[in-house]
This record gives sequence, C-alpha cells and structure tokens, in this order.
Amino acid sequence: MNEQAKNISALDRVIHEPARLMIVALLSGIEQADFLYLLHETALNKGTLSSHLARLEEAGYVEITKTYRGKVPQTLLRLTSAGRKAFHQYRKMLQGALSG
Amino acid sequence: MFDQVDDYAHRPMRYQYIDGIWEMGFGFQWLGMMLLLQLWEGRWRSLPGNSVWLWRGGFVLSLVVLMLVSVYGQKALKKRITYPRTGFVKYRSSKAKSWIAGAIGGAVGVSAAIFLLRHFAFSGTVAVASAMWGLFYAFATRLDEAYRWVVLVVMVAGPVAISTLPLDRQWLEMLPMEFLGLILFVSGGITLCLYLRRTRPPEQEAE
Repeated sequence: MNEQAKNISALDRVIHEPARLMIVALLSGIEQADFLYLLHETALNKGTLSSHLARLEEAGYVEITKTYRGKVPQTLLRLTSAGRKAFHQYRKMLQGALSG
Repeated sequence: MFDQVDDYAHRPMRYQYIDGIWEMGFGFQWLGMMLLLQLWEGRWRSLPGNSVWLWRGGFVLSLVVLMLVSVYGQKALKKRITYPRTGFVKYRSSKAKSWIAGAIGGAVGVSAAIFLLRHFAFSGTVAVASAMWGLFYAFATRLDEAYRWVVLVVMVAGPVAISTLPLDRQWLEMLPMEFLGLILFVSGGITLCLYLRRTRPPEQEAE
C-alpha cells in the first residue's frame, strides 16, 4: 500500500461523514454553541442533527450539556480536546492524501 | 473540499455580525464619544464654564458609563433577539481580553481624533478618517449586501461634504466624526431589520 492510500484509509471515519465534519468544523473555532445554532448553520433537521451529535459524543469528540435558558431547555455543545485533536489530525491527513 | 471545511470553521466568527448589533453598538459608542468630546472641549457655547460636563472627571465617568451601556446593551439585545432566533455561540476569547481591547480601542480612537484635528489640515483629516472608516467597514462586512455599498459611499463622501458646509468651525470639527458614528449606527439598524425579516421568531417548544 503506498503512502497516499495509507493516508486515505487511516482517515477518521467518525469525522469523515459530511454532516459530522460540518458540526466539528463549526465547533472547532469556538468555546461552545447551542443546538439551535448548529441547526441554523448546518440546515439539517433536528433528528438527523441529534443522531450525528450522539455519534460524536459516543466517540468522545463532543460534550453535550442539557440546561435551561429561562424556561426553555437548551442543549450546549462543546468540542472536547480529543475532538479538537482528532479534527486537526483529520485535516492534516486529508490534506496529505489530496496533495500526495 | 478544504475551502468548505475552512469556511465552516470561520462561520461562527462571521455569525457575531449577522444581526447588525455590533455595528449599532460601535456606532453608538463612537457617536457618544464624539458628543462627549465636543462637550468637554467646551464647543457648546451655551454651557456655563462651571458646568459638570466640562469637568475632566465627569468626562471620564461619562465615557465609562457610555462603554458600559454599549457593552451590556449589545449583550441584552443578543440575548433577547439573536440567541432565541438563530442560536447561541460562546467564543474562546476571555472577558479580560475583550475589555482591554475595548478600552485600548476607545483610547486610541479618541487620541487619534484629537491628534488629527490639532495637527493636520482639517479637510485632509476628514478625508483620511472617512477613507479609513470605509476600509474598516468594507473589511468587516465584506459588503455582502447591496445596501452596504450605499452605506460605504455615504460613509466616505458624507463627512467630506459636511466639512464644506458654511457652518461655524467649532461645529464643523466634530460633525463629520459624529456623522461616521451615526451612519454606522443606521447601517446596523438596517442589518437588524433585515435579520428580523429573514429569521423566524423563536419556537417555545423544547429543542
């Protein structure tokens, strides 16, 4: 297997999925955001967004906190340090695979 | 592919300008600072010499109050309008850094205005200041809406036009600067109106 093929096969599949890549990229530059913001930016529906967030939480990349804004429930999302590291690694490897 | 990922990573930074609240806040701050400076310099002749507005401590205190009203006013608007409509984002910068940047920005702005007005030809100062504001506005907003081009032209040409009006020099020295703050505030108002029209009011159901 050549180097380029190795890079492609080693890509993080949790992040590689387009919707999850959008979510991780959006969270990468900020401290935290709520569910409504991700819904607005990704244009996914609530169910799809929830399932992708659950997958990212399961991988330890996203931390989900349930809280309240006044009387309205609010879901806050934060990229964990493992998620941030995985995202940077993913971008590096994809760049290597595309340019190699 | 990479441009898209990068675009998504930078979207939250652009999101803070989506509702025009920063434009209104900055315009309000600038307009307020210029009006206070005008008061402090005693350019409003009707003020008696012992007026509290002409007291140096009063000027500093007024600046602090102005900054507080602007900062907390913006926060209140974000909380009531933006977060319930298109979501909440917390940025990674610290509060201390924001306050220091705001204080330094305010001090530099006032100092630059005083320096330019005292040491350079008046019409040249106005042309340079309005051109710099135009550049700043174009960079920050990316001129992403048609009306922003109109604002840009008014922002650059307006102060120069005002400086040619047959008015008392004491007024002419401040009016162009006050106009810059006012036009940014108006631009923010337009952005806010468009944002309210384009976004749905918040739903009261659970997320």
